[in-house]
This record gives sequence, C-alpha cells and structure tokens, in this order.
Amino acid sequence: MDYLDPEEEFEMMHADELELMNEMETDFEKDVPKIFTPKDSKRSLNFSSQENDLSEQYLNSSSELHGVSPLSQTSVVSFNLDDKDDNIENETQQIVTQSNDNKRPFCEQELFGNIDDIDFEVEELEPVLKRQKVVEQLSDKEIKQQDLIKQIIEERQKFKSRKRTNFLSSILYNSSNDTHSYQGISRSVPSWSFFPATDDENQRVYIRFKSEDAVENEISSLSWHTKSVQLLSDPIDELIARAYEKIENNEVMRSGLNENGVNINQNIIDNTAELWVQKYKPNRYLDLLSDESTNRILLHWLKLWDKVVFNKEVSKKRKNTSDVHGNIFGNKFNKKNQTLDEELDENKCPKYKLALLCGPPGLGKTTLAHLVARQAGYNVVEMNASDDRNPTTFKIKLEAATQMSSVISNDSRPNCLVIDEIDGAPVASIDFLIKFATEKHVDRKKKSKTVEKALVLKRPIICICNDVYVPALRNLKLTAFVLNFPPTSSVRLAERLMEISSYENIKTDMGTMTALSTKTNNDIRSCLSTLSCFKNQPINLLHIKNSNIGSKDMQKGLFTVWQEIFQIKKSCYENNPTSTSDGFSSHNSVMKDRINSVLKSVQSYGDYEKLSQGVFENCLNLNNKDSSLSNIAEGLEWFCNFDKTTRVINTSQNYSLYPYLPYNFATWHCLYATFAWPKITYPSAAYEATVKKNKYKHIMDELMTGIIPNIRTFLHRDQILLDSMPLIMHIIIPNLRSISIQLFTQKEKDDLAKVINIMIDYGLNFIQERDTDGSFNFVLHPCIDEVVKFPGLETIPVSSYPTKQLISREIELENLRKRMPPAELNYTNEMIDQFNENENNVSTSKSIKGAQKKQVTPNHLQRLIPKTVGSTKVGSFKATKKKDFFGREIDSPVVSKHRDFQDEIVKSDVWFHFKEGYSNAVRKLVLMNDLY
Amino acid sequence: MSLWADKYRPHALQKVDYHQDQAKHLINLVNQGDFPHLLFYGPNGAGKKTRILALLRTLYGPGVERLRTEHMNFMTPSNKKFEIMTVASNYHIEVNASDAGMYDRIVVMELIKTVAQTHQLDSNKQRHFKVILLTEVDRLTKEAQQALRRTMEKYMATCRIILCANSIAQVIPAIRSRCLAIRVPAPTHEDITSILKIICKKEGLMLPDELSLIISQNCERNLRRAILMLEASKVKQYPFDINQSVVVPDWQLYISDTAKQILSQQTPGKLLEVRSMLYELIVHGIPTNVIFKFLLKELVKNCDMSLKHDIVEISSYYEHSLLKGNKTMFHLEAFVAKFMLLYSKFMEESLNGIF
Repeated sequence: MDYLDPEEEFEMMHADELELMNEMETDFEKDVPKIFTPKDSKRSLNFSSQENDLSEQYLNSSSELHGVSPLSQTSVVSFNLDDKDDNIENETQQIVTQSNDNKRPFCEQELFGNIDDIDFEVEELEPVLKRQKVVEQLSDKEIKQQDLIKQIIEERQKFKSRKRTNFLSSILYNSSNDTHSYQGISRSVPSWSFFPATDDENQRVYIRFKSEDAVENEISSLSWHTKSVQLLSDPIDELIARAYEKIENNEVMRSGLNENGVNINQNIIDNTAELWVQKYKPNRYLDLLSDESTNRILLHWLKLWDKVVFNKEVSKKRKNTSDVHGNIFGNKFNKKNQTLDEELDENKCPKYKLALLCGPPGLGKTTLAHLVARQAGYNVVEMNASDDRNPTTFKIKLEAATQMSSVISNDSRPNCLVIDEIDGAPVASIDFLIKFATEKHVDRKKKSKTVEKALVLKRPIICICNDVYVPALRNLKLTAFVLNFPPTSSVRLAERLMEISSYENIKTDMGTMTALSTKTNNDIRSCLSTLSCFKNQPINLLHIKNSNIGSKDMQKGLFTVWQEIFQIKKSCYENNPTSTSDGFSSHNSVMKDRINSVLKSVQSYGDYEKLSQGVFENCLNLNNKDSSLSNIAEGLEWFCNFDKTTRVINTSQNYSLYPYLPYNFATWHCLYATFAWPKITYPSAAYEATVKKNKYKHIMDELMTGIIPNIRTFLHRDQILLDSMPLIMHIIIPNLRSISIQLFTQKEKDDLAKVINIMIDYGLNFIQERDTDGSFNFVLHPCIDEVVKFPGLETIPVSSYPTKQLISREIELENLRKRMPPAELNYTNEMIDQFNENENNVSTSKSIKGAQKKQVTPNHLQRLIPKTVGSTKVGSFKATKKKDFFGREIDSPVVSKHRDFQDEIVKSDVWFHFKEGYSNAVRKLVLMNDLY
Repeated sequence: MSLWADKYRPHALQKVDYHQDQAKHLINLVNQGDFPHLLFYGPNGAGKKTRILALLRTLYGPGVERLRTEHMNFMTPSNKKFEIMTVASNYHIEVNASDAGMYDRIVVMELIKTVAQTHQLDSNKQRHFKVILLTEVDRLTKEAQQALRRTMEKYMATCRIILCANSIAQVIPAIRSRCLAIRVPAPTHEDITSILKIICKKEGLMLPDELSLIISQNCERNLRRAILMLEASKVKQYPFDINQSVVVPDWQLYISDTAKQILSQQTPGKLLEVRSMLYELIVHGIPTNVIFKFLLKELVKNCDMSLKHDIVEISSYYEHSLLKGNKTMFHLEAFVAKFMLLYSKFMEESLNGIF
C-alpha cells in the first residue's frame, strides 16, 4: 500500500489516535466524556479504497461517533460505551438513532408547548452546554483526566515517533493492528445468525449474517468516520485543553457577570479574524435577541411541518398536542395580532407554505431563520441575493432544495429553504415561488388518484425581506404567513452588548450601551460594528454621543416622519442631564436636539414635497385647541417660502438650494409640535383637488370644442368660465307650460327657439341618462353645470323634465335641419361677392357689372333644353313643376333660375355638355368664313 | 347667434358703440392697405376681439367671418405629440398658444413658420399678407415670447401678427416695441347703460334706468357680462322691476360667502373651513388673481380704514408670492391666516379701547 499521500497518512494517524482513545477509555472506567462538537464541517468524498482494510478496526470508534451525530443529539454516549464490544452494536445503533429520531420531535413538541420546558430542551440540544455540564460533574475527577491527557499526549508522541520510523514499512504497522479481530467471524457457534463455512485449515467458521441495513449503516458510519477524521483536524488534546479553558472561563463569568439569569455561552476563542457579528452570533434559541413571540411563532410554524417532513405516527400525536398548545398560543399572542393559522391541508402541510419575515436590517431575521430551522431539525439551504435568481435558475434551485436531500453527505436531515433578501428577486421568480407553493394544492385535488408526491411542496420555505411593501411581494404577502419583525428591545440589546464588551475588555456601563442601541435604532449589527471600534478601550456615554460612527441613514416611514414633526419627544427632555442645572441653556440644547432629529429624519426621507403636503394638511387639524393664530400664520408663511424655493429649484435646476428645504420642516416642528399624540391623516385633499380640477378642465375643453367658431373666436377659457357659462345657465331656462308644442303661444315659441339656438351655438344639449335609482333624467352635456355650480349655492334654476325633453328633441331636429344642404350658404356666397364688388370698386368691376346685367349663366349651369313650342305649354309645365305629389307648392330657386335661362340662346363661344363619352361633347361655334 | 351678447356685437369698425375715436384711427390705419403688427390690450369684456375682428373684416371682407375650427398637431422635442385648437378663416388664423402650457414656444415657432412661409395665391385680389392672431399673449412663457420677437420681423413680408392680451405687463419689452400697442379700455358705466338701453330698444323691451345702472355697477365694467346679466335678468323676470335683483355668477357669490366665513370668526378651525372653500374655488378653475381680487374686495368692505391699507398690502404680497410659487393653496391660505391675525388683533384692540 502506498501511504505517500499526506492526507491519507493524516487520517491514518488520527484513526490510530482514536483507537488509542478507545483503549484508554476502557481502561479508565469508560467514564471519560466524549469531547467533540458535532460541528458541520466540510464533507469530503475522500473515502478511498485502502481504508476498507482499516474499516474493521475503526468500527468501534466510528460507531461511537455516529452516536453523537448532529441528528441525535441526545446522550447516546453512555449507551455506546456500555455495549461497545457488542456485535449487535450496529443494529442497536440503528435502533437507537431511529428511536431518537422518533423521540426527538415528539419530546420537542412537548417542550415546545410547555414554556417551562424550553430551558431543558435547549440545554439538551445545545452541545456546548451539555459538554460543559458533564465536565462540571466530573470536575472532581480532574486529576484523573489530567492523567489521561498526559497519557494521551505521551502515547501520541510515541506513536508519532514510531510512525516516523516506520514510515515506509506500513505493512508492519498494519499487521500490528491485525490483532484486533473482526467480530463478524466466530469459531464457536455464535448467538447471532450465521453462515457456517470451513476455512483453509478445515476448521469451522461462522460468518455473521448481516442485514442490508446494517451494511448500509456500516458504510454510512464509515463515511461519517471520514468526516470525523476531518473534524478532528484539531488534535484531541487541544480540544480537551480548550474544554478546560472554557470551564475556567465559565466559572469566571458566572462569578463575575451573570445578571438576570441569562446564560451567555459565547466561545472565547482567542483573537481570530472573525467579525464580531459572526463571533457573537447566537448559537441557540435562548440566545436570540429578537422578540420572543416572533421567534416562538416562527418556530411554531416550522413545527407544523413535522407531520409531513418527519415521521407520520409522531405527527399524529403532534397534531393533537399542537392543537392544545396552539390554543395556548392563541390566547397568549392574540393581542399581538400575529396568530398563526394552524390548519393543515389534506397533504398534512400547514396552510401557509411560506413564511415571510420582514423587518428593517440588523434585527436578526436571517439568524433567527437559520437557528429556528436548525432547532427544528432541518438542514438549512440558503438562497440570497448573491445567487442568480432569474426564473429558470430559481426554479432549478427551488426544486433541488425542496425535493431532494443531500446524497453525498450522510446528513439525512430534511432541507429547509431560506430565501434571503427576497425583495430584490425578480417578480417572475417570486411568482413562480408562489405558484410552486400554492398550485400544488390544486393539482393534488385533481390528481387525487394518481398520487404525485413529487409535486407537493413538502419542505418549509422561509423568505426574508426588508421592505414588505415592495410591489414584487404583493402576491407573496397574500399567500405567505407574514411575520413582521418588531424591533429588538434596547434593554435586551444593551445587556448583550455589555456581555460582549466584557469579553472584549471594553470598559463601559449600561447607560452607554443603551445609548448605543438607541442610536443605531436597535440594529444589532451596527451596534457590534460600532463597539468593535472601541476595542480594548473604555467608552462612555460621551463617546457614543459624539462619535458619528454607527448612526446610519435610516429611512423612516412617511407617518413616522410626520409624527416626529408634530410631536415633541418626551425622551428629549428626560434624557437631558443638564436640564436641572440651567434652564435656558438646557432649553437651547433640547431645541437643538429636537431640530437635529427632525432634520435628520426629514433628510433621510427625502421626498420633501410629499412631507410638506402632509404637514400642511395636518397642521390645522392637530392644532385646533391650543395654538395661536400667529403661529399658524407664520407657519403658512414658511409654506410659501418652501413653495417658492422648490419652484426655483425645479425651474432653474439649481440644486444648491436643496439643502435648505429641511429647515422649513424644523420651523414647522417648532411652531406646531405638541406633546400630544398626533393623529395624522394621509394628505389626500391636494390630490383630490387636482383630480377634480382635471375633470372640470376636461369638461371645459369639451365645451370649447363644441362652441361654434364664430362665437368661440370672441371667447377664451376664462371668459367662458367666469362670464358666459354661469349666466347662460340662467338664460337657457325657457318659461314654458308643459303642453304640446303646437299649443304654445308665439312668445313661448320664440323663447324656445331662442334657447335652442343658444344651446346649439354653445354646443350644449340634454342627454337622457339613467340615474342610479333607475329613473331617467336629462343631463346637460357637456356637464358644464357641474363646473359652474358651487356647493351650498342653489341659485341656478333647473328646468323641469318635460322642458328638458322638449329642448333635447328640438335641438336634435334643429341639428338635422342644419345638416341639410344649406341654402343660406349660397346666400352668404352672394353676400361676399356683393361685398367684393363694393370694396373693389375699381375699373375692373365695371365689366363684371356689365356681365351681371346680362345675367350670363356660367357654363356648368347651362343645359341644352329643347325649345318649347308654345308659351302656353311652358306655363302649364311651370304649374305642374311647382306642385309636388300632395299638391304643395315647392319653392326651388334653382329651378326658377333655370327657367329664366331656358329660353336664352347660348352666348358663349365654347361650351360643353356631357354626352356619355362622345367626343362631340365640347362644342364651339365655328363660322364658315373662319374655315376659309 | 341668438344670445344678445353675440347678436348685437358690431361687425364693422364704423358701428362700434364706444371708443369711436379709436375706431376712426383704426379705419385710417387699415385703409392704407397695410398695417404694422398690432398689440391689443385691455380688460376682459372691453371689446378687444370685437375690434380685431372688425378690423380684419374691413381688411378682407366678410370672408373673415367664415370661421372654422382646426386642430393643429405639434410635436415636442421629446417626441410627445399634442394638439392645439385654432380658429381660422381663409385670411387669418387665431391661436391661443398658452393652451399648450410649457410647450407654447413650439406652437409659436411652428405656427408662424408654416403660416408665414406660404404666400397668398393671388395677391392682387387679396392682401399680400395673412394675419396671425395670437391671444392671451400675457400668458405665454418668456421663452415663447423670445421665440416670437425675431420671427415677427423675419416674416413681415407674408404675415402680420395681431397680439391680444389683458395686460402688457407680462409682455416682454422687445415685443411691445415691435408692435403698435392699442389699448382698449373697459367701457364706462355710461357706455354700458347706453348699450343696454339700445339692446332693449331693439328687443322691444322696457328697461328702467335704475336697473341698467345696477347692472353696470355689478358687471365690473365688463360689457359681455353686463349684456348676459341683462338677458339673465330678463329671463328671470320680465316686466323689469326697479328693485329686481340682478343675476350674479355663482363663483362671485361663493367668494363673498368665503369672505363672510373669514370675517365671522378667526380661529384655526375656521381657517380649516375656509381652506375647503378655497379648494373648491381652485378646483372649479377660478383664476387665482380673480379669487384674490374679489376676496380682497369683500374683506375690505368690512374693515376699518386703518386696516385697509395693511390688508391690501398683504394681499398683494401673497398674490405676488403665489406667482413665484407653484402651490396656490399655500399662498391663498397664508393670506387668509394673515388677514385673520390682523383682523382679530385689530378687533381686540378696538374692544380694549371701548372698555
């Protein structure tokens, strides 16, 4: 065998160590605790073939390790130690793990419901703590352990030196380990099931039957073993040394610091390159700083998945208990309005397949999601903004995370997908997520016979976002269980900061930390970052107040900013330590603080227009009682100022004036702010006004287009609005009796005609419309009466329904009449001609005049009419022509004109007559002598 | 055209009812066959448009009165299309460029170029120029007016421009100097009463002197409004009564109501009520200068002499600031609040003086 590969060699080395360990454990009454943390380390596929040879030797130790695998974190260790040499070990191991598996969610469930049990549960689940406890118990055996450690070190040294000498003769080394017999073969009749065989020396050998499970387990344990080898990349003695160090530290901590019974179990590892945020990350549920109820509800939601994800029998029990506890929670959290619907659908999945955590950055949403998922026994798969999230990749990832589990690593825990920063994801991806989560539900109903389990989302997905109001999330909000993250309590944060600072040798006090946490708006991350600036040096309140580190541009909500403008914060006065000493200066400094805070929040919000509108519309409502008129007048003066400044900025694009705008808000704050809680409404008046204004403007536009041009030219918009329309509304009311139109007197007829003419001139009409209550009504169109009418003034008279009907009908008729070929047009033409004559009364007009006298017909009017034989006939023709079918006389000027000309001989030289395409249509008088 | 205001409009310069001397000058001007660019200005209802149209009629004949509305399309540099309605005859085109808002410059430029670059077909029969009638020039932006000044001179050969404005204060001096400014003052009360009487006579109605006086006093020397009021009064009640109430436009009543509200009580709560009333006025499109004017008129009526000066000052201040600003409501309400402050202070002092 080739052992030249250093990695393999290393593994070998440690394997040996482990073996030694085991031997020693048996020597030392088997009471030495296992000291390694089931950390998730990198899993390697480095399962090389030569290890097969060794596997048998490793079996014992490895199985032990398997017992403490992360999945079953209960104390299996002692169990393992007892039947260490047993051959059934593998099977039992399996059972144990299984039973643990089964037991765990159940017991957690129990614990989960019972608030008192939380402690126990957490302790049990927290390996670090567990280790610590055990070590403590054994503290009287310290000397023994010390001996052990020494021995280990010695052995290790020995081994190393030996190994070095035998570096190349590894076969020897191998054979030396051969003494360790494999329990699968026995020469006497064993108790387990066997297969008899004869070996080459003709001796009976009993080979053990192994169940497939056992074999698999063996393999898996081997794979686990390789992992454990890697895990132990830190030498075991070092680990033990660290453990002792930790014990000591804990003692120190306990004596010195332990306040309020909160146990802090931070690893005190020497200065590493880790960020503080990472370093002091909570490792267990109890360490979480975020709001307890939020944590609890998320955990509860995750627990609802147990039924689908984990064993079914357990979930049966779970369901009952969960209902009971759900009720408890319901009672408890009802006031918080964050109740969780515990209903399970037919797939035994929770009603909400997705959980959406939202809240400002730095509150620990991601930490919570990871921790809770881990706590509930899931393997966390994270997807965040750094990943590619276009719909296709998103889909692949989503399916991979929810429908598969890791094959390579032996970590059989189910996945829990955490989609971080989902507010940045494209809409298509989110839509797909929603579809993925919800539509399966429907599919299941359809395909209830052909059970397609692969389609159902059976893994919990936790989404995290900062801004829940992002448009992309609108649909997600409806389908997901939305959990708003409340801000961390600054007291709790300050306590934690105190502890951390004590680890990091920062001298400080509680007040400072509280100030820090309020300054950063309870952002844990920025608190820690700020704190790390003061590493190894004392800080006090002044440092925090004066440093400009740590405060960030927090964008607040619109209403928060308005509230800040209208409300004087009491804390401003309370927090000021100098307020008692000197009244004036303290007032000054308080004002300064107030103004600064207002400026800051206004600047961070940015949209000054909207803010100012809100202030404008609310300032009168809020100051109804106690403010003087002078304040208001002054404030309004500032509004004018604000308006003028923005106008200048907008028109000249002179943004150097922009920084001055927030000072207007500071003034308004000074003028309007009270201690009372401001009831702020969203400013809608201005918007409504513009909407209405536009509506009226459109009506006016419509009206303008309707007015006939001869009148329109004399009017412009304002005149129509101010003069014409309001008065026309009074004029177009004819005084009519409601009788038939034929019975009207002449005056009434005139009135009606006049009204109709006016309305046509101005393009008005009454249009029949159905009211909301179903009755018909005639409405003026364009509805200019709306524009002209003011609320509270009922001066404009309204005509009765029949009058309107009458007018409407008459207008229609009149319009029809106007559309007929207008005879009056000819009339106006002649008028123009006449006018031209009068105007251009020059020599040229003479000839025209002469022509006019002769009544020359234009060529196009000429017709070849057969000459009538007698004048009497003409007369009779005339008589018949003038009467129509009913005997009514028709007065047609055209006909009469023709009649005038019909006797005339054509005077013009050239004329033409349409002759159905014949070329002789154009005729010319040609005299005979012209031809010669 | 059966509305009296339209029906009795004079169509010839010879027939105008007042400012006859001016009419004579105009006739003289036109009889020479040519005229410079003109700038008519004067208050609403004074007869600017009537004179302009009469002038065009003497120039081109009654063909000018055959009007049609046309929609002209323009495109902004940012490729946004918009439409402007024009009224045009064969001889002239009338445009209100301020309808285009901030794009009025484009309208002015494009319009004049397109109109001015085409010559009249037979110039011996007609005039050799067309007329462009630009209304509401005082509402044009400065940019549009700047664009106008050069084109006015450039296309002098093919077109004349008649400008029409309410006041030349908003017209830049460059344009004022390029035009012959003709001021059309509002008719006097006597003019109005005489015109009303003429109309009544033509209609065969009896108009008592008192009523015509009341109308002329209530019409802001706006002849159109006077005639409309007369007609509205006639519809309301015909044989005229001496103490008959004249019909006043609704918005005017509303403004006086607002003023009453302001005077009744000076508290922030009242101010809130007044605000909603002011919003109503703005929504209905009443121009802010009109609001200021009538509000001031109503307020001053009920004020002590010593207060009047201050109130006129603040109202002019806030109207000015309104023109410099954007949000009308801020300025209007600031004016009202300031008035309330002054008024209540004055009332307190005078009360103290009594006791």
